[in-house]
Amino acid sequence: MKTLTRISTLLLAAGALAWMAPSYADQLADIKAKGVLVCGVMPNVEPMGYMDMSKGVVVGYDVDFCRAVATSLGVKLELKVVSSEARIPELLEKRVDILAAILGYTPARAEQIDYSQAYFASNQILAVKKGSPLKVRDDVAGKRVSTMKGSSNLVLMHREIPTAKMVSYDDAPSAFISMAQGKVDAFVLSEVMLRRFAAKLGDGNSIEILKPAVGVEYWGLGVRKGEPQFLAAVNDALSHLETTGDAQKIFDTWLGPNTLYKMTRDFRVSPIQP
Amino acid sequence: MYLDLNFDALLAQPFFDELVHGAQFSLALFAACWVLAVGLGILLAVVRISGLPFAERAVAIYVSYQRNVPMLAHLFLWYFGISTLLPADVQSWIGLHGGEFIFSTIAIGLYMAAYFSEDIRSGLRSVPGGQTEAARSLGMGFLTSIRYVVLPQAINISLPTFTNHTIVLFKNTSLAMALGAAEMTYAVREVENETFLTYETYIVATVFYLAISLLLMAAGAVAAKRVRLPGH
Repeated sequence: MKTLTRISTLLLAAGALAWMAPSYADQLADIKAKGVLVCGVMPNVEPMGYMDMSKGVVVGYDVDFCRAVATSLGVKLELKVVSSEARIPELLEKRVDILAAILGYTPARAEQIDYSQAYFASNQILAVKKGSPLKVRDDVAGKRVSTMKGSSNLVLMHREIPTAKMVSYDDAPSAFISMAQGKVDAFVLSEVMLRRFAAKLGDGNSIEILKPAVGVEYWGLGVRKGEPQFLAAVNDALSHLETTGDAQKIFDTWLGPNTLYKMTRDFRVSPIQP
Repeated sequence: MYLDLNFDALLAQPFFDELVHGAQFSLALFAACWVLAVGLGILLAVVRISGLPFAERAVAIYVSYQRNVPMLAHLFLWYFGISTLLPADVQSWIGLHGGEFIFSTIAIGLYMAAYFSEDIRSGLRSVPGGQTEAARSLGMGFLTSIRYVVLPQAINISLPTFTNHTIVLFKNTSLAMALGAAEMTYAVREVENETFLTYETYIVATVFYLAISLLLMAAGAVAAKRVRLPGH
């Protein structure tokens, strides 16, 4: 009996050790060995990453870029839904291999993770209620401006218009309503979201844009630091998408002239300049 | 796992100030909500035992409504809903003078008042009826007998649950974050978003909420000792 206990203890210990043993190969080799790329995407940001209710899957601009990277690596794509607050911890704790989750570049984020080349450039714009006394961008100095929690607009606004008082809400609709109800003077958001709100509001006349844009935010795919081979493979895949015109096709599918966003592509895949 | 914690960044500006302001906002919000909730709670409890059928029924409906709708729904209703019924001038005045604070106070205060009123009511009910009868036979009116005889005993009896709900109220102030109120949880999320020091910022928040809650518990224990009546 005693021997049996000892043996089982030993077996348990051995099992635990085997389970704890880290994988030694680099991430690119791991992914190829597994044959799966686990990609973190947003579930509720149309048209970037959102649940297509009729199909029951997450689709969007971000998803298509991740799928293209997986294809280029010759592996299957596995999507994992992440929240905007938890996306970077999910990556750091290896629950996902890569993030395609509306991840705007900020220096603070770049200290935590590596960014691929930019696959999207987002114009960040201030919007006000029609008839507002604010007419140009810098009129919002000292005014209250709403945005979404966890958004890099906070950093951007802090840099460009530091006197604006930022009020952040849980989601874009709340931030938008607070502007529509006059609780804040303006709303800072991406051009994509602005066009979406304008389209939903019908004639799009109830909001006005303050020019010029507050800034351009470059979005990259996020990978863990210390994985140069993997990062290089991701960057190669993105460059390839640009040369073949597939990057343009993905853009047009989700944001192009035939969508409610009616946007034209004014950027190319290129390294993010800090 | 990486657990080399870096609190230095949180002690640097602007993050330190942001956290300090968050803590101040939370405490101010807590104080305002508590005054409203306790004041209204006592009033509701007294009305509930007043013997006026209509008033008692109204309080019962109020308490069920507050207790059976989630706090977050109350917050949104006040901030985005009821606020729009006010005249435009009033709305813009409130907007400029901390609407987040005002509406959070109203929503949380009214919500927690229902709980406090139930605490006190159960205290009132456990004061023997002979106490009221004795007070009334000495010539005291309804309010005087409540104020000097029944309520002190009722509060004494309900102090433990009262302390408990005070702590619940304090922790519930964190929900005001959803309205853009810059309290502690809001500040923590904001700082976390800019620094990505997830563990560190949430450790700060945990220590803050824990410390204040423990302080409130200690205050409750002290209060219970101070007001202990002979025979209880």
